[in-house]
Amino acid sequence: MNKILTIVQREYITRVRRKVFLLTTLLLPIGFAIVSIVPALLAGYSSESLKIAVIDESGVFKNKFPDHTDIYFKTVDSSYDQEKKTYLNHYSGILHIPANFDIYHPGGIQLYSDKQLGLNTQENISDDLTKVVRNIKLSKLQIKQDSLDEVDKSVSFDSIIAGERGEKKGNTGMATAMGYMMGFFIYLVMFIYGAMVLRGVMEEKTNRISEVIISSVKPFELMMGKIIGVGLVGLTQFIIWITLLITTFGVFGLVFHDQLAAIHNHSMAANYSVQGGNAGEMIKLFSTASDSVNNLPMAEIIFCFIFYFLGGYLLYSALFAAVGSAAGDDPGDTQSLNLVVTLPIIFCIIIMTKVLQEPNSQFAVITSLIPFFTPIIMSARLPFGVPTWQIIVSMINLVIGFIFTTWLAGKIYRTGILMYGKKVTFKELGKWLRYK
Amino acid sequence: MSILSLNHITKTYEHYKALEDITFSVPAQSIFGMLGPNGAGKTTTIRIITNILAADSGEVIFDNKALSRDHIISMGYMPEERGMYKKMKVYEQLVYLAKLKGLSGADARKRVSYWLEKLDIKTWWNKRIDELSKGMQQKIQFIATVVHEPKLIILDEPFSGLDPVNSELIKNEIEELRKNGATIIFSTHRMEQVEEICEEIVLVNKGRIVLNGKVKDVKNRFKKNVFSIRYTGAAPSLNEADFSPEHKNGEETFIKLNNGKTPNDLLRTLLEQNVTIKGFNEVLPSLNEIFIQQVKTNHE
Repeated sequence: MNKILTIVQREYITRVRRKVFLLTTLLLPIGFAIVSIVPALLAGYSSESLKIAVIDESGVFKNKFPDHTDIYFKTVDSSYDQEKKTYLNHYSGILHIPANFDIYHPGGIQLYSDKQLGLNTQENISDDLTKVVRNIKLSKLQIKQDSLDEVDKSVSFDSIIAGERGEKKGNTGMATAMGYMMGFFIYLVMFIYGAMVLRGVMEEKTNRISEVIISSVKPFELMMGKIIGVGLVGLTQFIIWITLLITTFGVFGLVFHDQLAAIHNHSMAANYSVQGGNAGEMIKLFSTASDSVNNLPMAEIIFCFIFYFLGGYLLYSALFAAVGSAAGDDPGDTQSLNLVVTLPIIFCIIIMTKVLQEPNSQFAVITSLIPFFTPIIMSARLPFGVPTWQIIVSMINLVIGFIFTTWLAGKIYRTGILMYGKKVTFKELGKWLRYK
Repeated sequence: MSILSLNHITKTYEHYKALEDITFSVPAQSIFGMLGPNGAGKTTTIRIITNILAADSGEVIFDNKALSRDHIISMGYMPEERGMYKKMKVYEQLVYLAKLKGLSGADARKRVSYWLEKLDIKTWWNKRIDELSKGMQQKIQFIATVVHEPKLIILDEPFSGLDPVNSELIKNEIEELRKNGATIIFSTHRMEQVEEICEEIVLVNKGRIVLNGKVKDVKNRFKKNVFSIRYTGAAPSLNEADFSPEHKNGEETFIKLNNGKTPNDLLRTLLEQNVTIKGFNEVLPSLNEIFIQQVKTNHE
């Protein structure tokens, strides 16, 4: 036990002291903040602002286009064929409605531009056209605008979840965002730190120091020491990242307070926006998030999340250690072996997107109970509320799972770490499992 | 008294017999040579002694007890393929390895400092391993092997890559460790070194023991009854059936004794012919010759 501690200490200290650690720890949150905040800011400023000239020879659409922030319509009296080229100096596009346009058989409209307009713009223009035609048809049926607004009013509802501990207000958007973030976080952890364990083991093998160490400690102790040491590095790094992220977001929030508020209002008010749609939605979502967060059982979620985080890391890092020990100096071998371990992790993300849509489906329940998927899938399901029995079963499965992978990895590791110059196949690995 | 005995050790890897019925003992406080060509089973034997591998059958007795993991702190092993963390500093690395051998932090630091001073490399303490030359790394590796004062020190090709000065230095350290009570197993295929420093040897080939015993005894066993003579004066005439001349080397003439003739018979014949004898020696085969001969016959 004492020796594992000595190993853990070395693994931790040598990594944390490296300049690379310091750089990635400091730069990543800043990068992340820039990547996530800048598009939000840009969305407010640079939405493609288009001026569209409307040449309406039919007169059907005259002054009926609604202007919005992103597209301005200007009806011009001109002949389309003669002047379309000159108009392009002033307008992004020319919408030509032919004289014979019939609202009951709409067709023949052309959008003329010097470059291809975005998909969103095209859809928006098409929506506008449809809306105008629809309104004209409705008024022909003698339905007034007021009555129409009445009819169009959308019906919303509050979602109340009757959980095991009483009723609470639900927020699917919030739950989805949070579930996604937690699942993705664990995905990252497994990849970054799994790879770190893998590299560490390979380094020891190629340096030939493993034999020196194995003559002092059991291979299993060396493997566990490395896994725990790297795990602690990960924990340290993530604690620093989260602290820095909260701080940077806070600072950005203060500095760009007005801009963010503007985007917020804009996205609340606009029916749609050309580019900032998602960012706007996200901000809208987060503006109501604080209420929803209070309604979630945060203590429980955090506890489970940390459990899945650690369980998932232990389960996969043991497998990465085994791959590192088996592969050694040949990068080609490592890649194919590595794929076997990384594939289930990548698969998890695919499953997760499906699970987030239907978090309580049979598919979601079953996949979240399989230990290889549990860490990511269960974390994604947590904000939606998971029955206690499922959490307990998944945790037991995860513990059994990681004991199993550690045992398996230990067997492969102790043979692999001393094996040189041999092509490692799965058959070969099978043999190693049977060695005394 | 022996510190280590291997009794009927066998080890099989799948279809390949790495060791078959290996039995030998290492006397306490001796320098013991384990010889054999590449792939003979030396490393497997060492790995069984150092508890890295388990034998399929047979037993290992260390210090009068069946070998167990508790014994590994009483051993120091320097593998042929040297290994160090390249990016770690000399001092840190040595303290780490000493701690893994069970020394407390304070003890580890004290002993590492002692050895760095003893081998006159104190100034390297804060250098990274990859900044050192191969020979320098070797010295560090040697310290790592002996820092915890093991009873049994196993050195696999300890002199490879060392210059003559440093070879001599390490040789003296090995001798001193032995004097202070340690036993050294020295695995190599460099015979001249074995002859120089080992008292007893075991020769392994293809997983079996070919030869075992004191260097002196082994040499005697393989001597061919050849004597070298240095003399002045006219060449003596000898009955070639009894005293067949082998070859000449400068002043030295090598003569093989046949038909049960003794060295005294040869001397008598020579003296009778008034030859002035300046030197008369029995020629013992070098370990190298024995080694090559044994390995060859073993292959046939």
